Amino acid sequence: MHELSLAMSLLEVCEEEATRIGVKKIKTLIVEVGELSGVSVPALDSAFGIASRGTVAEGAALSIRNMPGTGWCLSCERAVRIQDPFRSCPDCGGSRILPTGGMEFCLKEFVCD
Amino acid sequence: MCVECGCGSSGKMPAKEHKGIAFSHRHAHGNDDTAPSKATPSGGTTGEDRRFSVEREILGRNNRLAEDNRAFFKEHGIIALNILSAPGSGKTTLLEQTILSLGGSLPLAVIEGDQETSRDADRIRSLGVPAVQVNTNAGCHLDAHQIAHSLEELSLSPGMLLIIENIGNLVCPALFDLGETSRVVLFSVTEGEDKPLKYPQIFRGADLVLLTKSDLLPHLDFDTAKAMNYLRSVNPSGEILPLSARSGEGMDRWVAWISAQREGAGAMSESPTRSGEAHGTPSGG
Repeated sequence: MHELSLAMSLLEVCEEEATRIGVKKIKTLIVEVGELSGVSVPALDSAFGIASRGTVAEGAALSIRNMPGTGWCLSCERAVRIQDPFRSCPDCGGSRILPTGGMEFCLKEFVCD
Repeated sequence: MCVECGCGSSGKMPAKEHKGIAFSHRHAHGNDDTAPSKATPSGGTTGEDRRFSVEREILGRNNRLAEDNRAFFKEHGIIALNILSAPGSGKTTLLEQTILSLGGSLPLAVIEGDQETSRDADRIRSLGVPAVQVNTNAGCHLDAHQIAHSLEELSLSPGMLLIIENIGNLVCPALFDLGETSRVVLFSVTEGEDKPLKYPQIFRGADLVLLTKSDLLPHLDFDTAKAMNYLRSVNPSGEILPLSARSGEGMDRWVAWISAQREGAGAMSESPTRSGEAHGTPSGG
């Protein structure tokens, strides 16, 4: 449900950057979304479609780069792959894991005519 | 222009006149110094397309505003509690009983979040405590921006207790840092024992979990030990306190917990997990 406000924040950044560099229309946004970020990509996509109307990014495509979730297991003392911030260590089963990657939600680039 | 309140693009918003300390909400918009523009041509043009490198975190705005709120609270020794739960877990009743238990022993203000109506703020005001009602309409959570504006409306004083009753929702409010000192999550015994497993994010971020409506336990099949185990599995470090605002059970310990927060405020530094881990998720606001 909060993806609408995330889409609006994304569009606000687009408007600022487009104004600054004198771009009238954005065709594609390249956005990194981490696996542990809590962002639902389908919900973001539909919210973006609605919120972008009348903006510099109206009709623009969202190109999503999915970033894998990683963590540091304090018990195993090594990096582990996690797909959910609340799951246990895939090796030792412990819950003492610090997320280290996959929290991204970042506008990397946009493409214009 | 700010999409939420239209209060200008980058300048400071004048604080309202108060007898006490005043909060001046500045909008951390992208063209602030804190968020320099980075849009630069990044090459790789295909045909007539031009690519621009931006590299900007989208969560920026809410988190920057939350940090402003947090710095303000810390500077003035204000304890801000973000109260979260599912609808109907007893947040407003707890607030009423907390106000009565404190008996005017410390300066207090309340920010009430609801989709619609000022019913909750009216309940708090009827007890003589200043309250601001935030109606989010379609919104499912409070954000740092709404808190900043609410602070402008309240008469604040150093060392006061500010209670923020968030929207009844176990999902979205977990993602939005308000700049609070502590998070308190209510989990009523009329809910299933496995709520913490089904909504782990909100329980994981809790500094204190209040197991509310404990007076109803004799009438329910609720397995307290099982619920505690589930809570511990998602949040090994948070405190858990059974409580009934109706019977008064546990209220003394809850009030003592609040007092301990205030006593620690002078020397309290921000917990690294608060902004680094628990709130490290996007929250555009």
